[in-house]
Amino acid sequence: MQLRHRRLLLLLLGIAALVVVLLVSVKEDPKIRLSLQAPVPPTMPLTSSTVMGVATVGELTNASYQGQTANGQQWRVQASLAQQIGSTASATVALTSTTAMWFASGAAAQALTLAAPSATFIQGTQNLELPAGVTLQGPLAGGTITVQATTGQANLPSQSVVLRGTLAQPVQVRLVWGAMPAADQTPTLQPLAQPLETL
Amino acid sequence: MHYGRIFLFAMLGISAAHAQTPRTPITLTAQTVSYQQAKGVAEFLGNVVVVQGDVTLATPQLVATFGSGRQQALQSLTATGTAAAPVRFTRGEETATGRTATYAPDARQLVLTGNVTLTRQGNTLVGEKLVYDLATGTATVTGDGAPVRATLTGEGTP
Repeated sequence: MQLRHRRLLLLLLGIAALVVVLLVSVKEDPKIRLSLQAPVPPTMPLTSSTVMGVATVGELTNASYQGQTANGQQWRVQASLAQQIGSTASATVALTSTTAMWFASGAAAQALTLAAPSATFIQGTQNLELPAGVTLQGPLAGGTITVQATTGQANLPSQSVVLRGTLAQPVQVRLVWGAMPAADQTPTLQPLAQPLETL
Repeated sequence: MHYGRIFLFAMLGISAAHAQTPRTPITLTAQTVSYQQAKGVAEFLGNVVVVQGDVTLATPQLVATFGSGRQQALQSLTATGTAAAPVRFTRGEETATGRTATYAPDARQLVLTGNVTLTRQGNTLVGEKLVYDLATGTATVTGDGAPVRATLTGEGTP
């Protein structure tokens, strides 16, 4: 009987040790850690913002981040896929098929739109880094401006944008007079589908 | 004297002739473009070239300021060059250069300053400042204390 108890004790100790090893390995593996974390909403003091989308393990499809600029304009970042890197409030999110929009109050067609195939969104600063194939389009000075650049950076709350080209491929700007063609207008600002908190 | 008009054609397309017809699109290339909505400022840096129709503006730096209203109307344009790379406007065989060029829509004046040269069909006018008054259509070149110099070849006048 005593021998049986001793074997049972050893078995339990072994299981405990195995659990400890598993926990340590999970904590140190960023891929596994990513899968255990949901994106954290931005925490900028001057503006409010929310994160929405359809969540699967460690990523959001049809993700959307939105907030307000200091002067009350709404901004939104949309992406077909958002993958979080890191687990803090200032975490970085890798975005695919990214569109950032600043909406003039009460006029959806007045939105300034920044788009790129991929982007990195830094939630702490609400900066957007666009590494390639950047397009900016929107109304300006009574016309419609279209800018194509190699790389770009944007700060969403301050609505500041820096676009860069190269010697071989400089930034291309085109200003066409009159309103933006209807086909090129940005989508209206509709309520988003499903808050992340409910997932 | 077409150089003020050249600038306006190039940057705004607001001349009387264009007011009655659709404006020609403007294309611009630069190494870097930055836009700050809070300040209403757009800055273009590095080999900035603006083309509208047959008119070209080349400058190392161009800054545009806009109003805060819904139309974000243009308030001013400032092109800044250097001694080695001045601001340059060309249209056909006409060329105007200077260290800086500014345009304020409210004043309806284009001002080109700093070693201004005006060249047309081989004739050259050199001064320190060129002011083009859009309301009256007159252009004035002054030397700011130094004489205005002209080189005429007899083929035409600037």
